[in-house]
Amino acid sequence: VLVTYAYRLQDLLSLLGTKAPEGATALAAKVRRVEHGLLSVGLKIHCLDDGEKFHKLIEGLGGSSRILEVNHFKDARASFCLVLPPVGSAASAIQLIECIEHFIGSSIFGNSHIQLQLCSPGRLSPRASALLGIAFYLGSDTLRRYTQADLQTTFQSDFHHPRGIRLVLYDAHGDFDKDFAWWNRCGVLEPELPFTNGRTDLLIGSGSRLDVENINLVATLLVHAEFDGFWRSLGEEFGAEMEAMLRRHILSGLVAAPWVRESWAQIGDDERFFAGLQELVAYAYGEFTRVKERRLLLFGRWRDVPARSPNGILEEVQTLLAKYRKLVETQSKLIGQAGEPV
Amino acid sequence: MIRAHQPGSQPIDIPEAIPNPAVPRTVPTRTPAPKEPVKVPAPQRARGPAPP
Repeated sequence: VLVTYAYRLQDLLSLLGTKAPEGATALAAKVRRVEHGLLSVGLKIHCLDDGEKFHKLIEGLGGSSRILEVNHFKDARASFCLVLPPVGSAASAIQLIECIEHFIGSSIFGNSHIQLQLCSPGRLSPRASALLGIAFYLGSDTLRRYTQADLQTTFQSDFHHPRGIRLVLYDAHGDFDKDFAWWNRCGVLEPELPFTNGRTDLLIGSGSRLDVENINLVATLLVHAEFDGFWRSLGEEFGAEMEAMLRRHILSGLVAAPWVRESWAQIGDDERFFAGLQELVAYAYGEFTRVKERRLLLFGRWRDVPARSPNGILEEVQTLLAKYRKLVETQSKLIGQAGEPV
Repeated sequence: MIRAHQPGSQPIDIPEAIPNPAVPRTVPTRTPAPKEPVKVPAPQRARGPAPP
């Protein structure tokens, strides 16, 4: 079994507590707590510069040889990849990153030298992986342009676990923490996730808090739809609404692109995926350029500035995410304290 | 930044990343600037003979 991190979450929280005592204490109290029946969240930090600011953190956890060199997977351009232990919710993941930001004295969210990877338990089907990637891209607060170099990792052509050049990646059968609550089909809280292994990860690049929340929501809906969880019907509705939206925008062919590298991948799949991603990026950038509104500026001058379009795909994705977030929050309140539906 | 140019049209610059116009941007709340300290005149000693 591949080992991706060789320290305990408690050790990390104790270390962070030396510089961010309030945040680390608050996090320790709820770090494994699952919220609204959503999935647990894992994070990997790929550092594109020399990573000097992480030195004290890595030394405090046991040193580079113990913490970093056990992990052979990283962004091909990165000096190292720090794997964080999974936590129970998106809110805890965000708080963990904020505590690390405090500890190292530098930003992680929105930092162009840091590439974040968000890990969700459960291997999604290729079609659901495509929906996850598309929903992340269109729902993010930043529209990004990619080159293939942005998506290259040390496992892209690995002999045993080739992952290709993709935005969405499967795990490499490494260690897996399944001790997080799972809401089963009847709304009963089971103490463990229903999979012994398997993750679907997203290379989000220079990410934000909103990205973490959106991916956690969408991954939960899609995983529950495919693994018969409590949110199964909501997840199926979400998938159908996403596909209908893509059809309206004549983008339904994107879902057929190989968004995730499977074991039976064909030659040219990396290029086929990248062509699909480029089409999505061009569509989103096109909408940004096309949809403008006139604003009166200082000294009575008018200027066209990017605006929100009710019929645009970007606005539609925001509406869709807000709708399903609200539904999850409302319906999860029906689950009683004892774990039974009210 | 990529500069895209088709003959017969204005060249356009395509940035690496742009803000998603559909996501409302959160404006950071400004912390109020500390007020200037108010000068309090020092209590003046009354002139004249010291009290007995």
